[in-house]
Amino acid sequence: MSNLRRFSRRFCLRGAGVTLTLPLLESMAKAEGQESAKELPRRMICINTTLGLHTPNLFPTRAGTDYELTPYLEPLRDFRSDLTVFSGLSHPDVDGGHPTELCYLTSAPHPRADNFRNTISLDQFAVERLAPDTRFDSLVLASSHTGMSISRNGVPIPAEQRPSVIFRKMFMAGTPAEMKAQEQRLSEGRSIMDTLLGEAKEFQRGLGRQDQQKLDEYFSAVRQVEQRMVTAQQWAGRPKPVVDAKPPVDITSSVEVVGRVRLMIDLMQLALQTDSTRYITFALNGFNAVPAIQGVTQDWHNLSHHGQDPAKLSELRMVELQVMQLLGELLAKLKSTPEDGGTLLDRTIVLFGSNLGNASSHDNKNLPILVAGGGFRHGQHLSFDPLKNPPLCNLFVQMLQRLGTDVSSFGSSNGTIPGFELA
Amino acid sequence: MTSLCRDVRISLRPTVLLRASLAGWFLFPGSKVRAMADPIKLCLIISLLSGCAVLQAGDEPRPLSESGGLGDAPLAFLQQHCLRCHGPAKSSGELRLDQLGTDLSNPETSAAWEQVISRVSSEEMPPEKEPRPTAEQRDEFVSVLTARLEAVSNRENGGRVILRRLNRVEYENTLNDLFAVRVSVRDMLPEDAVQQGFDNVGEALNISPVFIERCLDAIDAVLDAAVAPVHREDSRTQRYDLYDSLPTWFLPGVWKQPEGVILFRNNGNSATDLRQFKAPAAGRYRFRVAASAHNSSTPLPMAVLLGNFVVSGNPVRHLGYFDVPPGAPAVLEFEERLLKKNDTIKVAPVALPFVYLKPETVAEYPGPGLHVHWMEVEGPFSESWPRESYRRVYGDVDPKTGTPEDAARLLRAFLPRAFRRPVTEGEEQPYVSLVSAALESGAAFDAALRVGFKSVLTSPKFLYFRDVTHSGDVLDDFALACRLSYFLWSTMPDDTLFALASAGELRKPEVLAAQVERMLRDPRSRAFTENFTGQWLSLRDINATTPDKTLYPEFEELLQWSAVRETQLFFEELLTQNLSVRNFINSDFAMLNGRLAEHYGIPDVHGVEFRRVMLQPESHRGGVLTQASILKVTANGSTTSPVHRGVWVLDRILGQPVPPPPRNVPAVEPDIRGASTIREQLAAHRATENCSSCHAKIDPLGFALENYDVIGGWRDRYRVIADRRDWVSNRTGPLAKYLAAWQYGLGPAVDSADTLPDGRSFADMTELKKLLLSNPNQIARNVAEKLVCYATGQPAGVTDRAEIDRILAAASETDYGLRSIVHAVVASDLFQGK
Repeated sequence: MSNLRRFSRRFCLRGAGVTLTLPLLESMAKAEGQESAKELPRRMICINTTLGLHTPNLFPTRAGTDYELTPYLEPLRDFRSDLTVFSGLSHPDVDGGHPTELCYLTSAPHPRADNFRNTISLDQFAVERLAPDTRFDSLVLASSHTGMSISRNGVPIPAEQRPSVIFRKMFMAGTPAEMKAQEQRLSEGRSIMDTLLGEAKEFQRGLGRQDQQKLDEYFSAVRQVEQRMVTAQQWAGRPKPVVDAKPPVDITSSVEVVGRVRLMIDLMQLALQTDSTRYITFALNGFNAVPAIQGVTQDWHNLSHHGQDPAKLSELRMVELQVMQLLGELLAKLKSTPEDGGTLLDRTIVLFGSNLGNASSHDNKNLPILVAGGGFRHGQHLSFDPLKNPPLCNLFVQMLQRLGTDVSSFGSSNGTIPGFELA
Repeated sequence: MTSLCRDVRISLRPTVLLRASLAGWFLFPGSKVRAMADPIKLCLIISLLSGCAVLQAGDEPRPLSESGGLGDAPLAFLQQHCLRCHGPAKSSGELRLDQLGTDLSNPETSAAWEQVISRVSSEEMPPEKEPRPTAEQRDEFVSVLTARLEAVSNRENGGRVILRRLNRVEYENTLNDLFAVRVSVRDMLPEDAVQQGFDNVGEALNISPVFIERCLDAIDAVLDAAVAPVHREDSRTQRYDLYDSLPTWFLPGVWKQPEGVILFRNNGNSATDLRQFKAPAAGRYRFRVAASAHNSSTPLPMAVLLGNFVVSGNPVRHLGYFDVPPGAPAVLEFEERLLKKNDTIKVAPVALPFVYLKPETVAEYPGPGLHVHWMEVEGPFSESWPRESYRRVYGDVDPKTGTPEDAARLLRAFLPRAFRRPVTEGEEQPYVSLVSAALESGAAFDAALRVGFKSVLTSPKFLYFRDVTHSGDVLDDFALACRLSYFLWSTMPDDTLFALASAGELRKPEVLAAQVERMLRDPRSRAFTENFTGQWLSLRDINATTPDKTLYPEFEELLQWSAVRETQLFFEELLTQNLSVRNFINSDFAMLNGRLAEHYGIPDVHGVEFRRVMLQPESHRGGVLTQASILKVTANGSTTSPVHRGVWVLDRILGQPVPPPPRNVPAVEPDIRGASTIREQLAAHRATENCSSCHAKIDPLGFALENYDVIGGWRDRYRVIADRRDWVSNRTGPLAKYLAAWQYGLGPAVDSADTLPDGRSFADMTELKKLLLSNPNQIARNVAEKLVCYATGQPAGVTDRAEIDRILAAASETDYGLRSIVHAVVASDLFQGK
């Protein structure tokens, strides 16, 4: 049984157009683990287009399954039965314009407040709960700015903007010297962390309660680093998956938004296909640059503040249609990658949306939200009261449940989304 | 950013519902009462007032006589003046004071009471229509409650400042100082959280595993640079004609000269790097650029950059802007370090008129151009070896033959500097053992030593400010030296400060004052200007928006750079000359260069050099509020919002942060089609009782600034998108036929008049400034509070008020001179205490 499964998986991967060989060791390890984990992994991609989407071009007027295709849904026409459009969702009390991008996956209220403290993001929460045995516990990506994954104690995790770096870490075997250096680095790192933990007693003497809490946070971080180094050491011993795809060449020009996003899309598909990671976040941000898109003359941020100017709205539409097309490309890639008789999309929840409901007025209500794939019953437009939005976290709870956690709440959730069900 | 409520800078602690309801109450007294989540407990009010016990949902009864209590006088005050509206009978603004709880060791509870104190002491509460307490009653309530808060806070924390770590700017500066290198590593670290507008507040500066991992990477980058070998190359001198470096696609817009080339293009992306020169190695080089202003009677600005411009994505260093005079070519000469092999220099004209030129028209074009006659590069100069940075790592040890004893010696010498205080005998032992273990397991000396450095530089003793006290909660000399150097330099103390601390001298008032003077005179104090004004006055946000090219075609890089520089230099002028902080509101001078003067319509100022210029009333300038930088960071790229600007002024200048709007208030949708002005849109908003209490405070301040557009230009009418026939014509004068046409029209007239909540009216910003200046103490108090927060890493709270008063009293002798305030802050118990 396990032999057969292994074979079929290797076979499937080849069928995806990327010749991909699972290294023998790794696939054997997987096969041995099958007893306890019969299911193939479930995964999640969260994308935030941080300059918003002009929702009149996105939200259908009709709810239910016979909703009309709107301009922005047109590029996703082929995926109608693979996705659900949500209107009328938002994070309660997450307000204040752009800074809310840090709360898109956390729902921590009032990001502009003087005492704002962020909370753990959806993807990191999944990592914590499901502890995936993958080379990377998560991928935190951004196209040109900060990312949106937040650690348990509210610190933003720096996002990687260079696909080449991730590709190298994920797929390219180092030279023996490099591997030895890496191994050396990790074991040294662990002994450094050991030494630091030894300092606890001396430093803590005579500290007040709040200071003590601060220091606890430090030592807890040190212990986590050590643990992560242990895991990394184990992974360093296993060969990396071999893929046929060429290493990406980073695009540094900030105006080449489309090309940059496309590189990330390719990488996401490869990462999931090889089970190098299961949780990916991608902040799609194109601040202060005129995107190199035919017909667009003004920078994206400016266009999003259209102030109802028809010329700006028309250019904004060109930019945002391009974004929707890129989403279509991602879905197509996932759907054309077979896995276990189905496709990669079947087991990958793709959350796509924005922290801005109306970028022109910096409003954070009625967020544009789409969910595709992942094993839900799709094909509908679920519409909610634009004046009394249910919490977006209700959807997050269902995503976490679908991924395999047994949680019943996350962030500001107060239930689940009625009408959104498992496939 | 032109929303109304959504852009209000929210000052709510997200986790503190109590505080949320307080703020709601104080600002929306007319708002509808929403049932509290907790059930009302009738016994509460009785127990609170009887002084026996207070019950809170889920809490154990807690005797008021214990630390949690509030004291008798405050209770009587609450009963007499507050509870009728904020008690069991009625919870105006969703506030129930009887349900706040009295466990002041709970930070949320104490924060809520701080708000109460603040509103009562500012006489906002009780409201005017209610019976007023006497001044004595008010003072007693405030002082007793404040003392309680202070007592609890000190017991909980052993002082007011919460343990803080170095933020990423401080981390970078400190690493660089330790190893005598200049490596930028701040972007490798996760972004620091901000509290009360500053990124050095202990409570907000969390540590995550990622932070520690990235620190390890940053240390590698710094050590790599410190021990990098010097490539020995023969120095040579070569002169170039820039024309020969220009790519063919760039040639149509330039004019070749017998000597050099004239450039007309403004674009920062122009291909004017000196491609014929590629640095044979990293190292020091001398550059000479001979240039002159073509078709111009005044000097023209030239940008100078270093880096590799062929490979995009490489970091490029912007050296600044230089004046190129008309007439005979002037030679700009400077020495700089090129960081990488193949780096080169780039010069480019900036702020020239935007014109369309063809090869056949360049000769007859009467407009200005930058004539680059020749460029010369000399280098690389030989450097002494070992370099200082190398010695900082290895001392006199040869890493090829280093022993464990050498490593121990090097680490022992390193520790006091890294930990910024003397170390005890054997304190180096854990790090030394680590190095020895690495050596034993076969690591090379340099690798093993590096492990030691890494453990020291990720140790809590390095990462955190250790506020060791001398007596009571007074900092010892070394902690004081650190606080001082991170305040004024954003980096570790230098040898002088260490020496004074070792000698126990630094704490002496006259020594401390002399050190403040020395440090402010030192170029490192530029970090104070940049980091303090960058946050207090939002200058770090200068790039957040790009002005709309159609509406603001005159905007370009030199204007933006000059705008930030103006505000920094203005701050430094106040600091250096000890001028009154009144100048932040209004001043009779400005720090200007030619580009800004042109922008402000002030004649006879030319060149990129800044100078102090006396202002005439018709310039509409003076103070920071009318500086282009502030006007830009408080606007979005196409429109201004009186709300956004009003909130900013209240928070940053007047020290009265505005709480967030009530839920479910829709933002006003900006409309730049010219159909309605922002005032018309806001009028409806202000008519609502719910909104008016706040917006009566916010909007007038913003409306006064409506005469200043999104890039800080003066306007009598709004610029709007328009049909071609309505465009404002710029195509006049000798350049008419070459100029790119402006494509905006003029819309409704600006109306900047309004009335403050206290009934005083003003016609425009000039009049508003006079009204604001009627209370200089408020301006000074705000500056002092912001400085205390920045200097100590702890926001100034209610319990710090008495000490802030003393700071102000000391500074009032110089009419609140900025330098006096800085001195008074350093002399205060807040600064010198834990």
